[in-house]
Amino acid sequence: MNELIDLALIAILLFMALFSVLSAVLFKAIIFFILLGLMLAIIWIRLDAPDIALAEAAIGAGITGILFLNAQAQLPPQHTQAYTVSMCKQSRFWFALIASLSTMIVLTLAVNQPLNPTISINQPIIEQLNASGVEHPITAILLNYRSFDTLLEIAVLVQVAVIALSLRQHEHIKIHSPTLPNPLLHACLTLFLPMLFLVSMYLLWAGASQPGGAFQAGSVLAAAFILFYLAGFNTPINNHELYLKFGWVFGLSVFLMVGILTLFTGDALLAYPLEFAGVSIFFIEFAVTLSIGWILFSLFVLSQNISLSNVKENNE
Amino acid sequence: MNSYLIFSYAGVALCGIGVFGFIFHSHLIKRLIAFNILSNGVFLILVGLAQNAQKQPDHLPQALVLTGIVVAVAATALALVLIKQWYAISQQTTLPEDQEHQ
Repeated sequence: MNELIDLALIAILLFMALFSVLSAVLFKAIIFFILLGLMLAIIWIRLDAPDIALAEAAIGAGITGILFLNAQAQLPPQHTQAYTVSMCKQSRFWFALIASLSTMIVLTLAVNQPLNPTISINQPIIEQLNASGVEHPITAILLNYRSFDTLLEIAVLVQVAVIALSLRQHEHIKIHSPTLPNPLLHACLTLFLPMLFLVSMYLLWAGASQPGGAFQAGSVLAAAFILFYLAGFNTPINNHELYLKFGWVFGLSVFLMVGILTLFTGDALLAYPLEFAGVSIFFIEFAVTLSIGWILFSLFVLSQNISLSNVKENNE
Repeated sequence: MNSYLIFSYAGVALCGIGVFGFIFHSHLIKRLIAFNILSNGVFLILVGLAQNAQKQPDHLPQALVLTGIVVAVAATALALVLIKQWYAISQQTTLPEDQEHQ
């Protein structure tokens, strides 16, 4: 019975992927990609990975989808509609097919190789959980055992935001609010937005003992910000770019500060003392959640700020 | 064959579909979608294979995939900004190398 569910899930997943890759219209490809993300979220639950399922549902299906849809909506129709060249390129089709088949053959051979599970890293992870300050193994890995990785990951996110900011064309970020004169939407948002913030904070709090954590909470927060922005409300970045940059580095700097504080006690970087581990992890996660939400939101806003039509006219 | 291994094979198939789309399409956004499908396939193989060897949930690859998903969305956002910038400069959604072969 369980195998049947798995096979059905995989069949739907692969059909979504095929439709997404083969559909001629870009909009269809994006919609099937979003559905693929939702399917993957269910599959991660079947793989006993509820943390990844939460992240995939919020990020893979939500944020990535809205970024793609946003880009698609800004392109003129002749660049997103049926795409006649695709079927003519015979040589390219065969080349792609051969490359794809050989990738699959090599990967199948690799997956078939029996792994030698002599080192089970899972055992020490569970055993050391008491010393980590949290009860959930994945949060312990992300913010204690391998916290340096997570620190650098936040740095990567900040860097992406900085590059996106440097690519904008206007001196000042223009927020052309798509003001929708829709009282029903605004009334709904007054209900939904506090709910979204609550869900985000709950995910953050739950991360200490059960699936959840900074990444999931941050992406729900980003979704709330994007909804707020799309409904036409004014955001503080309207007036001050400083807010934007401050929000980006807030999480990274709190993370670094806690890390450097542990150096003064004579320990290594980010080696929290046992009695403060839980508190340090909570402060870091809180700051990182706000920053991840803010960075994902500003990536959305910055990509909206590239005007596609008038640049060439200005150059000529 | 337990369900961890089945999903590793599903990841293999996703990788194949991703590689196909990445080479076949010259439209940059479609390439980006194929690239995202490929990365999802890699995540499935990574977790499925590790858990198949241990016959239980393995937390370390799960944490790695979690960071991977966040970095992937950041990379996608950056790629979309670059694609839009490229369109603003050239009014094209394909690279010049691909246009010559059409």
